[in-house]
Amino acid sequence: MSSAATLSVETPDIIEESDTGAAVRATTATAALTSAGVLGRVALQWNPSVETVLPLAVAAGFYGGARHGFASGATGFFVTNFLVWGGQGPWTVFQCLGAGLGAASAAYLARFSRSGKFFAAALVVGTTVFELAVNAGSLLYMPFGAASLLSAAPFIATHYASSLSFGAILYGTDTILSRAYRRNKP
Amino acid sequence: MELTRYFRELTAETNLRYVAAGIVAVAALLLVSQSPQLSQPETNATVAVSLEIDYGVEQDSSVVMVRNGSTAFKVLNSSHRVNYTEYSFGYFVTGIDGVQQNSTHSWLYFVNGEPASKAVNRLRVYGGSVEFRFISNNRSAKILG
Repeated sequence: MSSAATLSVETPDIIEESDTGAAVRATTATAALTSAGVLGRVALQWNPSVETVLPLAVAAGFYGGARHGFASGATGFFVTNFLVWGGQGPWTVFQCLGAGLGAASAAYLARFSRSGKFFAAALVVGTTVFELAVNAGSLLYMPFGAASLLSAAPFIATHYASSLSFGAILYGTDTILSRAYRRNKP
Repeated sequence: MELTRYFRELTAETNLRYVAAGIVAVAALLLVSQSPQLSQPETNATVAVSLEIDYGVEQDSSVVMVRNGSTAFKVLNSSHRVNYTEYSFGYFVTGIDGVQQNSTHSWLYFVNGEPASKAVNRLRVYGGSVEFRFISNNRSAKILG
């Protein structure tokens, strides 16, 4: 009896995942989200402002933390610019910074709550940061920057709708994403 | 079998209401945002196109900012005085900034270093370079094969 009790203490039922295992799992999740974002942006390039890199990066930031969000957003835009019309240019810097910082800001909101409302707020904030960075950047390298900003207005609205729509799909996988990043809802 | 179980678990953990709502919203967004493109295929993004013009005796280089998918004609016409003749296959450039084609020389254009395969108002550019060269008809024939 006493030996059985001793045995149960020495071999716990649940083996805790190591820190390395959790890190690998989180990095894999970020890589998967980023890859999906890249594929989506390339597939949808004919449709301005309907893109997948930013919402998926925001999800990485919201569930995985600021570093995962920044890495996903910046890498996603850098990689896709090799594959879409227009290619690389001065805009790449602002896209990468905007998406990276926008996605990283989601981590801050996630500290308060991981509810759907907060995820939607993170998508709106992330898209705002991205649009501010990209359009402010365009003032530096576009000959008619201010006019370009005005002409971009309808596409900014489309971008918000795009982020929230893809965000709804992502929030549907809330349990899977939380588990991938091993987060409990605060 | 294992894969089926995995997908079943995945589906069980997915909130299908959100996923369905998102898919419907994305589909609606694609439909709405695509409709203006039917009459206007250019995308919103502005791209830089390197424009080089070889007048024969001098050259001019510039960078033109145009909407992604603009035609080569628009790239040229946005910053230079252009004469052209319209044919069934499209526009043919006959003069740039007063340098007119003649019995020995004509305007040929290249996109990203390659001779263009379409009329100047039908070939769309997505960045890269467009070059117009005023060259002898003999050379044109050799280049075009």
